[in-house]
Amino acid sequence: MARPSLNSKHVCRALFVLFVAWGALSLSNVGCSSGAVCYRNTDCPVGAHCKEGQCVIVVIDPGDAGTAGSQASDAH
Amino acid sequence: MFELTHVPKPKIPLSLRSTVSVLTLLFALVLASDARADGYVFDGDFGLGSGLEGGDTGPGKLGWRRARLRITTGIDLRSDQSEADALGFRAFAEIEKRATLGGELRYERWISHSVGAYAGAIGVITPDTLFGGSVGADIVIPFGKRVGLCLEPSFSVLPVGSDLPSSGPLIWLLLSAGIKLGL
Repeated sequence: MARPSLNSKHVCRALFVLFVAWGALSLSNVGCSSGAVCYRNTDCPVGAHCKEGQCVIVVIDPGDAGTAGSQASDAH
Repeated sequence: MFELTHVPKPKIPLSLRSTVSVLTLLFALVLASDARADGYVFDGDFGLGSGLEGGDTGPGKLGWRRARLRITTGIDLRSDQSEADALGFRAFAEIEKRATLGGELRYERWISHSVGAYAGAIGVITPDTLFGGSVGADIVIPFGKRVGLCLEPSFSVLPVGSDLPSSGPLIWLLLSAGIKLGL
């Protein structure tokens, strides 16, 4: 009985299918966090930083020794 | 008529003979190492990549999302004496959201001309920093003698840097596709 052989064409096709599948998975956000959650400080606009998944702008009140955080309005 | 006379052999001092021997040996060594000098083979590549990015989204929560699209370019440098081993340099720029610039230094081991694996250090240097390690594979589908389509799945963990909002690492599961060119 002849065994099916695996040639380079089949390997290339399989790789191409894998690549397309990976691309489709990567480009969809199904099952992933929404775009509003930050993972990195550079996800937030300049002057804001990421804290527990949310972009926060630190505002220093001159009349107060402490700092207050407000959520950045244009978080990605 | 010829008169045969015995000409005494000139005596060469031992020190001179030793000096000449040592110098000859040294010259031989120097010349031999020059002749043995390796040539290097360069491969250049250019590609686009994305995938999944995992990170800390709150206390103890690991979230996943699509990684930023990146442009990658670089070279592989290998000795013509041992083409299975290579040193790879990559520069990449993430071009979504706030653009970043980073690089990678890796040791590559090629199983054949078209399949290889690598491990190395990866980092983002601006506007914030990220540093970590990376492993991955290279699959080259040749289109000619010197050109090929290169697919590169990779896994990176970046636990250090000012771009991290917490102590949790950032994880990249990426796939890059591009052109590999024998230079």
